[in-house]
Amino acid sequence: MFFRKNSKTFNLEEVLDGCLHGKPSAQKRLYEQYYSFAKGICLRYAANPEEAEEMVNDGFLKVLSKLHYYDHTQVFDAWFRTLMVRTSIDYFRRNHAKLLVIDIQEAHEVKYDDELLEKLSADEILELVQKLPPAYRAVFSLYIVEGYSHAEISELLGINEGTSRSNLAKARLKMQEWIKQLCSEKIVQVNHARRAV
Amino acid sequence: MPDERFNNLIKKKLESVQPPYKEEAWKNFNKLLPAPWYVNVFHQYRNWIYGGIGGVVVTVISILYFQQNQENQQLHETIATLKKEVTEQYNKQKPAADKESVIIADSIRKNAETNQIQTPTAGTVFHVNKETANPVKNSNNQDIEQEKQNQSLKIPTPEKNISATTVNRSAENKRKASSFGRDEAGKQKPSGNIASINRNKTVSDNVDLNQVDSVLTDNNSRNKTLPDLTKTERANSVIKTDSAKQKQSQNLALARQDTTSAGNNMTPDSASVNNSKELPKAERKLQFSGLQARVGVNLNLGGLNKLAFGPNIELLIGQHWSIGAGLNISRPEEERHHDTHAFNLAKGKRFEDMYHVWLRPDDKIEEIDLKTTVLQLPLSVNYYLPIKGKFSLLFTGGTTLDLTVNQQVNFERTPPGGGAERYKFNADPHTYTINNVLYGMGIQYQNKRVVGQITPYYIYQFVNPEYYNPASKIGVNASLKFNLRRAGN
Repeated sequence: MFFRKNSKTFNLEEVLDGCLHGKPSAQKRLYEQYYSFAKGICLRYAANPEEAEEMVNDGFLKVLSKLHYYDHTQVFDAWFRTLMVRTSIDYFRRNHAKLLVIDIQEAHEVKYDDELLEKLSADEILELVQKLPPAYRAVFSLYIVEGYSHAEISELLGINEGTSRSNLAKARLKMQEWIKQLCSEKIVQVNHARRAV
Repeated sequence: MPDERFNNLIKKKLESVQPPYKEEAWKNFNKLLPAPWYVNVFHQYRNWIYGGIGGVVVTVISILYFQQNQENQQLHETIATLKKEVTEQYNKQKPAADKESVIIADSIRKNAETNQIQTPTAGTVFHVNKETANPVKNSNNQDIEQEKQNQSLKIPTPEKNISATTVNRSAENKRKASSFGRDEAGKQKPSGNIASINRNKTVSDNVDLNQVDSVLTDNNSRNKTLPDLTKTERANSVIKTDSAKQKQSQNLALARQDTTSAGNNMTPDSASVNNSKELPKAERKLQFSGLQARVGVNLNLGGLNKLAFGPNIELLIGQHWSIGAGLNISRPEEERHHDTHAFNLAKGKRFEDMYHVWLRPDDKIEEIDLKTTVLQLPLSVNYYLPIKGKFSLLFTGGTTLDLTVNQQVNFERTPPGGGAERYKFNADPHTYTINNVLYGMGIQYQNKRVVGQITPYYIYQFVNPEYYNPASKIGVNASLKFNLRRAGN
């Protein structure tokens, strides 16, 4: 995968074997290789980078401790991704379960154009996702990015399917509202900059 | 359908976020990794391991102690035997007093032969011994040489006989020697002066019996002239010997000193004498090499803010080395974290994992206060280098073992429904017994049996227990100790 570091010299089987035998050098190589991938996943469930870092560490610990369960006939990346998502959800449930009840207030349907979304960078979109309340953020990421169904989400988060659907809808509306708002602000800023020039 | 396009665009954007790898991230993660298998084994069997190590240390110290005691005892026995032998030898050598009489007689005879009215001086008397034993500078040496020359001119030189003589004290010698002091009629003379010389004799008079006997044998060839001496001459000689008595004893003492260095000429008897002379010194040396102990109190200022104190004991091995051990209890160390997130960042471990037993799943946790007390066992090896007067430099190396840790955790918890409350419990965190090594250099002041030490040190923690704050790497150790044994006792 493109995010990997030193992919040419990285021998996954060898590294996994080393990790199974508890070799620190192999553990480090795996960490180096999959850190960016893991952090990218965790950032979507975390409220900030520090929280994402904790999720990453928890996820890697889980990977190393459950490596002997990994079926070598399957794709490692998929197994790794699933484990990371599960770890993020566990973290979310542990720390933000009480926030499940918090609702999005005043989610209005706005006139939205997808062209606006393309004007924003990935980091800006991520910041908006992180602004969502935890329960909405989790449903939003699980459904849209990971591709889980509402049934699976309801099981993972311990909520009703209806709640999951509702949360997703509200989160989507909120995101569209913020995207439009952000784009407007950017346009204003650009106009100001032009006038200044 | 528009939602699907939105979803795809969002997914594409979010999946493209790939933060770069940071080395710091691995360092943080590495701290969380479980320890290698041998550390786990160590923790699993640590009680057995500590017990084993303790047992070995106690056994080794006991063996060394008993060996040292045994050695001391053997040496004392040897010394006692040597003393006894010396005494016996001395008692056996008492008859040698007669030899002195013969020596004096020889001087008298020489005077008679040279027809010199001068009475034999102390130098003359001593010359007989000194000439053959060790040369000691004497103001009379020139006179003596002159006298010898005179002898060689007037009588046949006895040197040949002297060189041919043997160590054995022949019966003849004894007879002739005993005959000295009797008058021509065979009457026993009082000879109080000679007796007094004998009384002044020391053990070292036997320093070179060979030489004395040589002289005795030498007398054999000369004694035939003895009856020719006039009574006046003999009386003069005897009277003069009385005045020479003291000088003779002094000179004999000088000769004794010389024989110490004249190893080749030393007879077994003289060696015994030397041993007996060095006895007190040997005893002192043995006592210094024995084990000594100090007990006292120790105050440790770790990281310049963690205070610990407790009793301390130190075993001195030889004059420069020592092993120290103690028991330190630290003053409760307080720390405060605003919430679990701050706690996790500071400690590198999750609050929820560390104290999950005492936590309810949905509570919000804030205002975390920790009070930690550690019971420690400091172990050190010390080297002392005397510098000036009562001061010594102190070099130390060792470790501080954490025996038990008590932690009081106090925080505010808020259930989902609200209603914050304070909750307190005593945690029993996992104790990292071996987690550091330390090196230090300080100064010691010793006044009689009281010893004061102050030692700044550097501590390296190869394991970072979560019950410690990020520790400073320096500290100061101060001790006041009392020597259980007097130096030299």
